[in-house]
Amino acid sequence: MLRFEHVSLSYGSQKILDDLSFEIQEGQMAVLIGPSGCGKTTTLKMINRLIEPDQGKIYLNGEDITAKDKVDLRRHIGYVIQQIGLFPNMTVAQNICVVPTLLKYSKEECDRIARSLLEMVGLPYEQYAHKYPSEMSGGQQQRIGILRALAASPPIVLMDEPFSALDPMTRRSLQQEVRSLQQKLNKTFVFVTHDMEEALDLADVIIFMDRGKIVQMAPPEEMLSHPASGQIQDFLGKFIHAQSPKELTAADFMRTGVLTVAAGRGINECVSKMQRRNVDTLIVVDDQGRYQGTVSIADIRLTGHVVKTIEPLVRCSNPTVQAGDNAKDCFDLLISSGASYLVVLDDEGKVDGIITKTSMASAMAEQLWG
Amino acid sequence: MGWSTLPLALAQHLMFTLASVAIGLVLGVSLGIALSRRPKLSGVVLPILSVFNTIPGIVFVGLLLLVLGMQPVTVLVALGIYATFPILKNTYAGLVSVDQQYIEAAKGCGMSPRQCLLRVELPLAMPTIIGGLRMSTVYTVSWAVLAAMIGQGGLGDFIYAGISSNDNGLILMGAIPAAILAFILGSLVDLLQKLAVPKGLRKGGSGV
Repeated sequence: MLRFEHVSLSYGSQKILDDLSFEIQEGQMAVLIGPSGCGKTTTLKMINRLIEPDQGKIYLNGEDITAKDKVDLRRHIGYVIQQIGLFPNMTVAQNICVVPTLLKYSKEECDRIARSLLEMVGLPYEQYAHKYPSEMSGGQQQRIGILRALAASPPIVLMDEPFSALDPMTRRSLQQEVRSLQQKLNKTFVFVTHDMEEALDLADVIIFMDRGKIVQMAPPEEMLSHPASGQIQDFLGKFIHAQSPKELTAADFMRTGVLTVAAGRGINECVSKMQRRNVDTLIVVDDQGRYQGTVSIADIRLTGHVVKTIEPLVRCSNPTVQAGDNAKDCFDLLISSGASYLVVLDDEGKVDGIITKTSMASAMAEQLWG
Repeated sequence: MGWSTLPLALAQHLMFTLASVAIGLVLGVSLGIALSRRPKLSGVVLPILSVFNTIPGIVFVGLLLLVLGMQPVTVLVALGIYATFPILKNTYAGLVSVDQQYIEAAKGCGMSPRQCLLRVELPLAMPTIIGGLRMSTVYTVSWAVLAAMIGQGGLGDFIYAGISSNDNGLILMGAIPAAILAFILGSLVDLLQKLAVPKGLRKGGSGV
């Protein structure tokens, strides 16, 4: 449907596009994404010849686009821009029918198009057709902007960051609308964005660009599972699940930096430590840092006056787990044992951290929402 | 010279004004469009025009008199050129200040440069252009007084006669109708402003 062959562009010594080749299939939603200055918008504008390449060819339906008249070419390519660009001197209906009017459709035909398109996005014709853009909200304006691009039913529609100036709620609903329009009309869309969430949501295929080159071109699923570079991974960020929940271990859920105390320490020292940290138990370790057990303030109160160190008061009743243990098992143990925390030990029996209900919940939240 | 000659003088004055403004409108808008298409050229031409603009009308009419002689054409050429300046400047300013988003959208929709100009740029620049027309009209009414200087009539006859005979009544007989004429023509342009400015631009919002 759309094919770039070795397309390059330089401004002076700066390479904007560097030997770009790719192909987009008919009916696909292709999303161009990348850091700013990567050439994604330039690539898009080459399709309707707002920008011409220095080298290379672009084919639309097998035809070299430079063989066609620019103006005529653009009338058969839908175009939506970030700033919306509805003509303020024209009504909504006139704006929608700009291209059909240029193509000299009859007045009745234009009316029919405006009516059916407005209805398709749930804006009643009677209410909106004769309004001016300045009387509408940004979201409504961009809806009309999209309808303007679709009016002459072009086989391909270009969208240049169409939603980035809209608030998140409006953006969501317009994304859904574009998706359903695209599926309904089965047109080829080329969509530029810098928002990875938008790309993952909309795309059949994502083209990730950087410095005028394609870094990876893949369906969203594949990009998520096999990002081609660290940069893409950064862009994917929270959408990548490094581990599936099954592989999570106690180490992922524990809180580190816990307070420990050596078994030979005095009673008073321990009590003041507990008071300072506002805890009711301490984890007791030996000289090598190996876990010995716990000592609680209740035991100290009961028998603390007959012993000098905490050693006799250490209990081994608190449940422990290994750092590599399955997270779900740890969770079950924490709930069923009724203990307020689990002690996590490493291979040598040293204390790595503890798992509390709070640390568990925050680790789960991180997995879920990033 | 008295009340009986006033209607004729007023008619002459009006004719000079209307004809010159018409010339100014045609020249101003077309030159304004041409310059707005060539930003580099306009960077040179506009400052030169501003300098010309500062030549006093009286000097210019005098110079033209030497070339063209004492005839109505001299007046029309002089006033026509003066009427051109405000319209040209405003046309240029109105066109270059049209937001790029509309031009990009127009291009992207497949408008030819000519269609883009006629359907998008000129309508959006219309408020500014008509502002220039208003300025030009009001100025020309006062400049048309100069026609009398080279014996071509108009309300200037009264004013010059009044000055040379030290007759304030005669001066006012020229000046007051001229002021009223300026006011009426200015109001007519305001009316035109209402009719010619696209509806969508009048309601405030996102215009130029």
